[in-house]
Amino acid sequence: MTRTRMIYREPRWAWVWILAAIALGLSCAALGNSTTGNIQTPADPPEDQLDESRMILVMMEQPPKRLRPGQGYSAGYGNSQSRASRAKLGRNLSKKYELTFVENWPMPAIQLDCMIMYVPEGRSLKDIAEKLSKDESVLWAEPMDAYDVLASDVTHKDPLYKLSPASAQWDIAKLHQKWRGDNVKIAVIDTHVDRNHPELRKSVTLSRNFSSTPISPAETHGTSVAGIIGAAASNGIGIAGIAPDSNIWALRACWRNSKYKNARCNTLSLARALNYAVENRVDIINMSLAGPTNRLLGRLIDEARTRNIAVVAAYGRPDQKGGFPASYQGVIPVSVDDGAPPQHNGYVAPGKDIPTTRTGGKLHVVQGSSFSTAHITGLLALSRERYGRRNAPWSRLKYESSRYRTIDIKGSFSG
Amino acid sequence: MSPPATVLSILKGHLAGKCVAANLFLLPRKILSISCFIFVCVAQFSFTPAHAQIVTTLSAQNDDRVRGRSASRGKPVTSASITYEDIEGIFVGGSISLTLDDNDNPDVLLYQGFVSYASNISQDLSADIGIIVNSYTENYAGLVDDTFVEAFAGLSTEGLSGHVRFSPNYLNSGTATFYLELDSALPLGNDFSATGHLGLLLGLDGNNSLGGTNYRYDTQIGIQKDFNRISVFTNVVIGGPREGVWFDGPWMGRTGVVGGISYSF
Repeated sequence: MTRTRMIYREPRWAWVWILAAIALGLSCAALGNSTTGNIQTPADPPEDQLDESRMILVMMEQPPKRLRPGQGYSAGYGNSQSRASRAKLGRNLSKKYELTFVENWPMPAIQLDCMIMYVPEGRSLKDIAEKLSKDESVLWAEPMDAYDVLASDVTHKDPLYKLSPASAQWDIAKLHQKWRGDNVKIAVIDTHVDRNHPELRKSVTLSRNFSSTPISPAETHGTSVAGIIGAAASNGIGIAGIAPDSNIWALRACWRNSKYKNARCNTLSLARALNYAVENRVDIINMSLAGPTNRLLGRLIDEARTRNIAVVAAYGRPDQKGGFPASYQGVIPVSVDDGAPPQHNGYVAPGKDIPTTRTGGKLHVVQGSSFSTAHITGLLALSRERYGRRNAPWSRLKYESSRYRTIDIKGSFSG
Repeated sequence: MSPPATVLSILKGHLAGKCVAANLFLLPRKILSISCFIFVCVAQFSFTPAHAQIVTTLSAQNDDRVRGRSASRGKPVTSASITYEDIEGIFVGGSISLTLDDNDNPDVLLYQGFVSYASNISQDLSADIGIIVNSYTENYAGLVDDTFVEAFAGLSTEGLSGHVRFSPNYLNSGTATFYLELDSALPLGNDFSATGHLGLLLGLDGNNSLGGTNYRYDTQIGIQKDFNRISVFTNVVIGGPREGVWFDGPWMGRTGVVGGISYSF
């Protein structure tokens, strides 16, 4: 190997100059950031007190993945560098439209960056969203939407019924002799599930918080949904879930708030949870909630379909055409089996007087299409185990009555 | 001379065995430093389109392992880089790395410049090509004060990428090389990720020019934690084979533990 020595050498001076350059460069950077950073007008509240209903989501395309020379082994593909780049992009955009940049959430499952910006009081969210959507660097922008879980208040606190409706109608115990949802990953996008509940300790294998609210004590709705899907079977206590051996990923995107009748979620929390579920290729996503149609969530659901993930959602209020996401193309809508033909082409399932788990290691009885949805999610988990993911692209559940959308359990699992 | 013409002349110089780029990098470092400062200021202050960003990254680590070998003789390294990236796929940048010289005074280890272009070829896959100019000073562990060019191309998907680099005159040794590398990053949750790297350097002249052999390999496994703009990492790096002089010297060895921190803004 050729060995040469450089003639020109002045290490001390070089060091002084380089230090000066970096120091001055940093000063400039700090100054630059102060002029291009957050526009926090005097009227704006502190970031942690920003009203979510004044927030807007701005979607931008992610730059392609690439080699980043000079980042060494670990950062070769530059997490902090690319994150800083995208955050800067968001700040510049918020400055341009006189908004407050809150944060940036990458959605790698659909190659989008979701920038969250706060719109000051007195300005129209719709107008700002329209203006931003016309910006050449923006794919689209939309105000933050709110979503509600679809459960009525607990009907009563009576002792647990001996048999759940599903046990009687579907003969679940017989199905469990062959299939129990083993190795099927189910994302329950809901409130905070009580993973310490004796009925859920085994099946809830992962718990993540995607809401902007701090992780709270366990919450009722998510715990109840998880119990219907995956409560332990034959353990001598309580109930048996439809798919007791499934792996439930409890993704908290909704939270209980005394202001609302039930738990509530928003576009961002749902998008983050969906992105996580899609990226990690779960088998089934359970969304026992409804709200307005949303483009970002639609994109994530499209991606879930592309990856052969079943998305099951509660059919919501008739005045909202079933609500979103149940009405979205490719989503399996579920409503309560009340003896009348449903207004959708999905399934009906038990949704009245359903015994299930609740926080604090207790059991209770619930009703609502949220819980019908959990029943179908559990059945789909058994179906996935029965037929394999590849052979059960959406659903192999057959109808007993195509008009009433009830399920033919025997036909669905035979053959 | 226009920038493309300059790049072309550097490449031609290398291909002809004349290190034109080295002359460029023999400019007094004061001038380079001042240029760097001006570039940083202009970049930070200047208007950039909303779809393009300039990012400065500062980093520090206890060692700098390149192709499994300590480039800094086991001494700590600090680096500053500045990059321009736009949504269309252009990525341009430069960096300067400092280490300690023979007398333990801070001095330059490496100047680096790069330009690349990346494009999504499907929803999950992107391709990139580019050129890197490396200019090591005499503080490089191999005592080779050289500038050399590498051209690269590769594919990346979420969490995994593979690249091939070609250098017509690796470390100005007169040897053309291919370097094949696979890199992975596995999310572990809470902004933790596990990182891995496999690399194989192949000398094409058959004269055992790579420190006594015609090939070198390196592997790395590590963990990284991101705190928004700050990344903290630690890696174990293993290089091989043992033959030759590649790992000679008390500071080098085949195995190294590298830890560091980087901050981007």
